[in-house]
Amino acid sequence: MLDFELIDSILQGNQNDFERLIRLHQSSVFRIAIGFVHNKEDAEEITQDVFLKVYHSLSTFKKKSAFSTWLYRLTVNTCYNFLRRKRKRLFWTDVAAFFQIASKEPSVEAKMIERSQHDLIRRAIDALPLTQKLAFVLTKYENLSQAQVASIMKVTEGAVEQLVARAKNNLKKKLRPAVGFGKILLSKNETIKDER
Amino acid sequence: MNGERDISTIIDSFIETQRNLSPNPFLATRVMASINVENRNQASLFPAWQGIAMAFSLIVGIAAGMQLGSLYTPDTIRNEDATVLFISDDKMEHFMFYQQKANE
Repeated sequence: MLDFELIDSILQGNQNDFERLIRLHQSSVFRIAIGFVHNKEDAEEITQDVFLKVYHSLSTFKKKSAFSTWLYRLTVNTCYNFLRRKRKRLFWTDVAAFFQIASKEPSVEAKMIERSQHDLIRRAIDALPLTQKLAFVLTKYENLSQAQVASIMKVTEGAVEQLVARAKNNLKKKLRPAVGFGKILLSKNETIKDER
Repeated sequence: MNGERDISTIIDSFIETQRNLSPNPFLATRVMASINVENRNQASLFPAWQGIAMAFSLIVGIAAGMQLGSLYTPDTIRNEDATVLFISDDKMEHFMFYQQKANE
């Protein structure tokens, strides 16, 4: 059954088809979400949020583009909103931590987690400018073609190509100081500047 | 150059690790459950309206009763009718009748 047929059926009140629609697209939504938040629980929360939004606004879908394009745009917007909310939450956590003052040294385990390879890469991706990050996540995490990414971002294919190339260069620049002898070294001075 | 390739490999392996994560198999069920809860909450708005309607009808009933009650004022009773309302002393039994021994 095609997406459009499923949508028509859902709009006629067949809720079981909505579950089928979720099962068809949940992995794609989840992958994009994880590209933005790098955390399974948060990505699941976003995925759930996206499908609730889809359920409520399905009647506004005009079928002028592919359903997946509409869904990806919705996912990206939900990810942006989630990150904005999370940044606010983190700000207040930081303020609270500041007032608890330096007596509480982070544990060795926490330091190790902080400095892990994956954390460095995650922070490097997060530090990318938003458009570069979006193009990079859609291309790399969801393996979308340049044409698809262009239609989601409403830019030209050439612009997408440039954004992805810039994102890769920025990542390399940010990670280069941390790489030595073929592996990322976890030295004390390793930090990645957050450009945001 | 080797380092550049290493960085690309590290980034690709990180992305691959994340891509291999899969959502909770019950995610669709969870979403459907949330939708059902929302629908139920919307449906349960009706009893709230019922309560409001009940309270409103009670208020209307009490107000109507008060209005009807206020229609009755002493001025609305004509004087000739008013006398009818008093019991005539002539019709009352004399208490003395029971006190007389002859009648015991």
